[in-house]
Amino acid sequence: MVRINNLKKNYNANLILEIRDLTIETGIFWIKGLNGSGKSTLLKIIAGIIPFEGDIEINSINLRKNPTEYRRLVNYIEAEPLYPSFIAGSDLISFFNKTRSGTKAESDKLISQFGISSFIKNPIGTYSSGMIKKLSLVLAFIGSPAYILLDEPLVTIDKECVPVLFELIKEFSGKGVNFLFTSHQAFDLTGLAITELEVKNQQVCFL
Amino acid sequence: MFSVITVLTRVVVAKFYERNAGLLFFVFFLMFGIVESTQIISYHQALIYATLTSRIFLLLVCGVWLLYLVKCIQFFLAQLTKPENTFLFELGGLSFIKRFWVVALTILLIYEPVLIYSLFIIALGTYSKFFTATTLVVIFHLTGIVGAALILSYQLNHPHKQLKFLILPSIQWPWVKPLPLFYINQLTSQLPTVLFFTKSFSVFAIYGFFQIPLDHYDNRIALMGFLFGLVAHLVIVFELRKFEESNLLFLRSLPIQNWNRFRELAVVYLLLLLPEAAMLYSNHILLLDVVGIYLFGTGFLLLLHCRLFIELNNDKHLQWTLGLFLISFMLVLCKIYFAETLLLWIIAIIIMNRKYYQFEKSV
Repeated sequence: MVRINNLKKNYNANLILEIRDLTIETGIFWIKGLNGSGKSTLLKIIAGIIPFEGDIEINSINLRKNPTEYRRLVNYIEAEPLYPSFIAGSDLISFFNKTRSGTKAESDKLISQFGISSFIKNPIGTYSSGMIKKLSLVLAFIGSPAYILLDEPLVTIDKECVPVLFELIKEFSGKGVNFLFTSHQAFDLTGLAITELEVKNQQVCFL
Repeated sequence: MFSVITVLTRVVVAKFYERNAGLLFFVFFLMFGIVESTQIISYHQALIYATLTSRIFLLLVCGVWLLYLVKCIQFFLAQLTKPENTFLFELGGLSFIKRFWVVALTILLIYEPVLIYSLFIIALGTYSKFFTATTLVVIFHLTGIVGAALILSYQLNHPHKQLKFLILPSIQWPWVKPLPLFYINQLTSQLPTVLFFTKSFSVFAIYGFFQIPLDHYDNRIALMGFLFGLVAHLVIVFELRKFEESNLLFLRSLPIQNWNRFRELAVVYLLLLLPEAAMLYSNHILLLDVVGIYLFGTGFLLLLHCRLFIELNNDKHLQWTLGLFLISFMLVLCKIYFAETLLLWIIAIIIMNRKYYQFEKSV
């Protein structure tokens, strides 16, 4: 469960988010909202990668009091991920396996599912944006997170990859992993309940 | 023709200066920032006279100019390979003469910093009647620019042939990288010129101070040279912080303790300062002093790096670097650099711990 209390986020003088009290239970959550409404900012805050005022905790683990343990519970990928161009995708996966206590067998399976094994040993600088996005999706599923946060996961990936992602969400959801994602494209997760939230006027409300 | 030159200025010239701002700033700093303002003119007169009177020095200077020219050509060629710039091959439709002049003018604009300084060399050389050296400088630049324009004109007319012989090799690590090598590899693959000039200057600064004759052992001489070398690292420190905020942003979401992040960063700077440590050791500095100076230098760079977690601003970074240099210089003279080393490391750790997650690039 994600609990947010007295959250305030500004960019310069502009108030982006002001959430007094929000609880996101377990399950799959689709965060909706107009461009610039603060969806990505909300995901970054929950991922614990940008500063903000207020408090946030996952499964009673507070980000400020126990930051390392908190980050172990959250995997996050950006809408347009950026990685060092000179290292190979396989290097990055090994690195994530180490820091997120993932296993090689699991990551190899993900590499195969997303169909990126042919170029995974090449430097990331040679990848197209779609290939980088697929790599980031592999990284999102490494380790044992309680929540996986996906910012626009369908952007730039090819149509063959979309059902793979949906199947993985179903598979991991079955194992008790929760998902928060933003998407302007339709999400077809037949058989799974998706709770919708909307970011509007600096607030987050359930639809 | 004016419209063609305008487009090339935006696509090639502006991008070149944008991409190489750090390198140019560093060279500008070496040329004008490390000398007292009252001595700048005499300093440059001495440099120019050395170029005009010593064949070896002239050869060295021409070598540096050649490296810069190769970098200019390499950048132009790299711009041509970008998908968004394929329209530039339309220039192949121009007559050879027109294409040559358009490209030559573009190269001139990128090569401008070298040409401006060379004008002073030519003026002083003519005034002081060093005609041979002056003529050699003029011939070097004319040949360089004409050669570059011919190569690039040829490439524009032959888009199917990729000229690879001018691409400088960048070092790639063949093995799986631990985190500190992400930083080092960024320098070797993306900023090899900055790395080369910084390390050369740093090592030569130490070597230069070792030439001061002493009648007894005094490690402060080595430290003073080392301090100049450390200041030269300011561009590298800034570039590595920028790299953290762009391509290493994913690290922030990983469950790594701040202490471990700091340890990895310390390894980066320990690796970076290995040549200087080797230089000290090979010049008969006591092993204990080498270790002390090495840790001092690492602490110096770590503090500069960690301060950038407070604000990532180039002007402030320069001010802090020079400020820290002056304070350190005084403390070295007073023989209390051991205490400063401890302080540098402690302050760096505190800043990193408090500000790592507080920093956010301004929107």
